[in-house]
Amino acid sequence: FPHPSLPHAMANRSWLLKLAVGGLSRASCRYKSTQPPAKSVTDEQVQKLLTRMTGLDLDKVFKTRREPLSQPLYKLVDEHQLKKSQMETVQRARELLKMPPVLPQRKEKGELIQDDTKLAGLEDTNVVFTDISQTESNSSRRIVVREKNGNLRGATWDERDRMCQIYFPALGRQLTLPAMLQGNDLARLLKEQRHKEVLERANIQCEPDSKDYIRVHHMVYDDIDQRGLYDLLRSTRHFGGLLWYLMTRQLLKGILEEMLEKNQSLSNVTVVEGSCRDLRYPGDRTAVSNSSSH
Amino acid sequence: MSVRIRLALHGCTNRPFYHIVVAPSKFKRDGRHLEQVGSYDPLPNTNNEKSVALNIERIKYWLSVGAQPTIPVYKLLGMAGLLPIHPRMYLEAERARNAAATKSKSSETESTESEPQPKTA
Repeated sequence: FPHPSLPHAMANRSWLLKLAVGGLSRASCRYKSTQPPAKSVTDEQVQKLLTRMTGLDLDKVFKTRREPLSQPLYKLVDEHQLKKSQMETVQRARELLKMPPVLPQRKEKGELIQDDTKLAGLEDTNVVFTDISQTESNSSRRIVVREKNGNLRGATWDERDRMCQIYFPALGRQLTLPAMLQGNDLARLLKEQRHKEVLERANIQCEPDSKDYIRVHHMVYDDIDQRGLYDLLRSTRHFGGLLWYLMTRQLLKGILEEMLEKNQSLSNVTVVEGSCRDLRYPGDRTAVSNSSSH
Repeated sequence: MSVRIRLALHGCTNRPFYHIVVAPSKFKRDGRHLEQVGSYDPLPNTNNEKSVALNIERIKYWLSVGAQPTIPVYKLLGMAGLLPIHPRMYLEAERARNAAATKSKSSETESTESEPQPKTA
């Protein structure tokens, strides 16, 4: 139902749509800024907003899927136990909808350790040394490369990921980047509206701060935004990332239009809009009044 | 008899693969060992690199209690930067460079000689 502060005569939905969209486009024209957002994605308020916007559709989260055949389990429970198991289900759903980390791209590695050109010609290939000590974690593992020209350098991220996958394989991960995350295959999957599958595969295959992870995620988000397919990711753990991407780039026009068309609560719309401005300009009076009203 | 850090040959025909292993010299090359501390694949992979795994923690321990690496293992540890480079490695590298230089020189002279010359009767 319409926002209480709006006059009764102006409760017409199409008018509201024009107002919201117009306001945003005016705002983006005025405030073209390249500075980083005022709040980080891990901020409590931001997380609350993203979780709220993701929604919780139990039918979507626990969609029927193929599993190994097993005997169905029937339980006779009273109302109290039924309510308890329903709450547990909601809790499990919330766990499944937790957002994966959103990180900036990792800085390049591969710094020179030792310059030893007298060893040139000893090997005709690079030799990669991986430290397989059990107490190290993959991110801090020492991986060095002795090159053909005799130089000893740290391994690049590509080499690091590969070596860690060889000696400490992660479930579901390949050594090379799967075809479905690049080029024509990716474009075809997006055309078939299989965005969620692509994101799930990227989450399994790549580290959150790697170049490929960010590239794939941004491509998917851009495609969704261009085609208005926000509902594909609603009530999945990827919606938070999508919304954060749009908010930090001031690309909310499409998603707010969609929310209004789907008769989403206007309070949701104003919260998103207000939080977006709040991100960029924490001192802005309108942003403060919006965020304080919720 | 002393404890060595050495290469144990595994893999199969025409496909060697070494385990880097701590064992007394009395034990068989591929047999019983005290501990495996790494692996070495002498054949380059699709990215044209040879991969060596080293359990640095355990290698350091065994070196500290007097285990002797064999020459191939010493060379690997030297290349990894854990131990100083073996002097033979500099020698072998120089010999390899010289061989490559003479080979390229001889191939150059061959190519100049292969120009059409008049047949001798």
